[in-house]
Amino acid sequence: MQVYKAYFKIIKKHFASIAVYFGIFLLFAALVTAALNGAPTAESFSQSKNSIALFSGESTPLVDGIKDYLGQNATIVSIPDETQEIQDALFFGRISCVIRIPEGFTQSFLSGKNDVQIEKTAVSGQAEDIYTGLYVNKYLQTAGLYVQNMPGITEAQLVENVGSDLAQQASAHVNTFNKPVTVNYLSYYFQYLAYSIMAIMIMGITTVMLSFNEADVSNRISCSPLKPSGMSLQMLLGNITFALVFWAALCVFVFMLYPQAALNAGAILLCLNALVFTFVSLSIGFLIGRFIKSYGAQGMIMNVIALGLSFLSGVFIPQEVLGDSVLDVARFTPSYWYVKAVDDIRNMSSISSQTVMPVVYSILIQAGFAAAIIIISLVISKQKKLASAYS
Amino acid sequence: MFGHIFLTRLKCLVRDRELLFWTFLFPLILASLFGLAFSNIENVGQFKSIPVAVVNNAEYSGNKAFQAALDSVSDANQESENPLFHIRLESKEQAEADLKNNEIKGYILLENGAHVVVKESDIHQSIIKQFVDSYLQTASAYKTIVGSNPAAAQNFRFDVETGYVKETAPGKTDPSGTLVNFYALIAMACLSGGFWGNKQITDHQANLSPQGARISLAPVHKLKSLGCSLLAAITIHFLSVLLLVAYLAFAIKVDFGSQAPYILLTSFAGSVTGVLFGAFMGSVTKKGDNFKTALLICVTLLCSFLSGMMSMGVKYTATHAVPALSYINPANLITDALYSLYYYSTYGRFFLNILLLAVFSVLFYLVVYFVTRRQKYASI
Repeated sequence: MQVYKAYFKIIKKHFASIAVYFGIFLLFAALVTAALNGAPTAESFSQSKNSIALFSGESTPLVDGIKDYLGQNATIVSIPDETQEIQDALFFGRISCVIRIPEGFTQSFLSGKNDVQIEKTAVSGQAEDIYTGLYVNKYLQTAGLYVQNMPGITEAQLVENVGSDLAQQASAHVNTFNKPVTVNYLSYYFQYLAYSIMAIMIMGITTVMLSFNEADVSNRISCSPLKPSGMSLQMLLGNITFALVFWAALCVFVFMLYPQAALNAGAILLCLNALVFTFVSLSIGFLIGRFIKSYGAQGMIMNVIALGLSFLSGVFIPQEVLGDSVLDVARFTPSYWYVKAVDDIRNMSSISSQTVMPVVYSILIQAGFAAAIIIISLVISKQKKLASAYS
Repeated sequence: MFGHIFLTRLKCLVRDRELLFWTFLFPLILASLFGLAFSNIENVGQFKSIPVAVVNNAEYSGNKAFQAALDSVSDANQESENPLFHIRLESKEQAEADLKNNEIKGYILLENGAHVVVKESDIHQSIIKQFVDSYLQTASAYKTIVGSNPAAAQNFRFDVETGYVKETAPGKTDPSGTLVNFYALIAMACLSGGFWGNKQITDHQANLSPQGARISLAPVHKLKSLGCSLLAAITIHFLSVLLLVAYLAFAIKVDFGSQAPYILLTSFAGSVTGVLFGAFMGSVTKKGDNFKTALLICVTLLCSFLSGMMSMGVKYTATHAVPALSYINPANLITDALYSLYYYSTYGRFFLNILLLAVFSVLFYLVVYFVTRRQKYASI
């Protein structure tokens, strides 16, 4: 087991860099989870309010009505009506949307001509900014009903009626079916971990295997009485040990962050899913490690594969938003099945064969990917050795 | 001498096929992925009908108006190919069970007022609630109008204008939610020049590579040999960024508007900063090659993250918390330069960012020079 022991000696030598990768990528996943999903809180059906600026070229009861209604659904920030100031506020994120009501709007609206339009400037593409536009339209559509069917209505009366109409709302209830909140939050963490796990495994494994790939070392090993397959298998064993230790450390880290979630069925399934994905990443790292030659390329290859697969599979952009053509391609990548399993676990309200089966399928498919990639890399490296032996 | 070193170095770099291949390939792959992913966001036809249940109780059966409203947005409406909802009528217990098993996104219950019961607060649930709200509000308006004038019920016109709002752009480009992501991609590609910069340092340090030992022996001033190498690295890296911008403009058809020259200027400044940043990181860390790479990857990732490449919200939170961060984070300077093209109609802020990038580049180079200047090795 010389190669196996040498594997760990090399890990010890490169421990600093491997530790850096481990720390930074796990931290990265934690930061992204916190940024994109906020702290775990009780579920409530509320929309976050965006900050908007509202400018009006006239002061009429209708405009005041629109202002009041928007004020209920967004935070109106007062800034001077100057181009530079507005652009600064947008740029620094103090506001995300600007609504401008031109002079003459009220007249054009009440007369039914509608030739003056309200201008909306929004840059972030956030859902809340889209809603702002929808709210303005909703207010004016309701008011429009009065204008069309109650000719001669006074403006003040119109505003009062629309105000009371829009106060009618359905009451919303969120039923979580006793699903612990932290499992939901944890599932997002595991989703972003897809990138981290693949990055850490590829970097860790290739760092060690690069040492074995050096021309002199590789040739000396070939001279030894150790069979090439034996060497490959021992390296694989070393990689597997590395993967298991990494996965164990990951689980400990996760449960240190969220102790409430420990021993919950959902959390256990997430960890199991992560274990299989770690092996998939191991196999990819193994494949890369057999062929890579320099440390410089290592970083770029890791970026291409880890980031590329992550974007394709819906790690950062949810799978529901990705187009069908993208998903069709993504189905051939293991990370797609990892993210799908995480989604299924997140939506599980109860443990039954109906809800667990999809997760099991995804896990099995990932295991299949891992096995296939390892077999391919073993075959290719054997072919390469045979080819170079005869050159 | 200068020309000789520069050309030779250029040839050396081009021969590192591995690094060359991946540096050029990575931004192109990501650009293609972005292009694919975002092409569908603009495509409204992707909407899938939302499965909703309605509790079939006495109050519901009596409310003909609500039934008509539901019919018009569901499968009952023959004209609509892709209706808003797939409605199923069932009992409350059945609806609860369906919600639990994810067969429906939510259910509507009419019981002393309208209730919407859901499992999570997502876009689908918001749509369901918005629909019921709209119904209630329109019904209330109708009641008020007909209440004061019963005759109006005969020819009630529901067809009001639907679009009162028009979208405008803040600066000179057309508004687009996806453009900022492509800017982030260009910034990330600029920063990946750090690998090239780092490689130059490794190749120049005697204790890190045989070439480094040989170059240290040569009677060439460190400033000259390092400067030429970095210039060669910048040339190659800038080519890769140019390729990315061209790919984005012609293949992915991202509309940069009339801002193309400014974007090229930013790419150049970003490229220079990226390469020199890598050299800077390579020269100040004393450990081996792979540790330098590790640190470079991690710092680059952290800088990119803080400048909002994965989520814009992070950028604003970070700059509100630590305002100075927006000026010392190189990734942020690059993205800000590009964003200022988008938000502003003037170029004041843009040139401020470019200037800061230039200052940083000079700073990085000076640090690299002074650190590598008189390195002595007791033994190698």
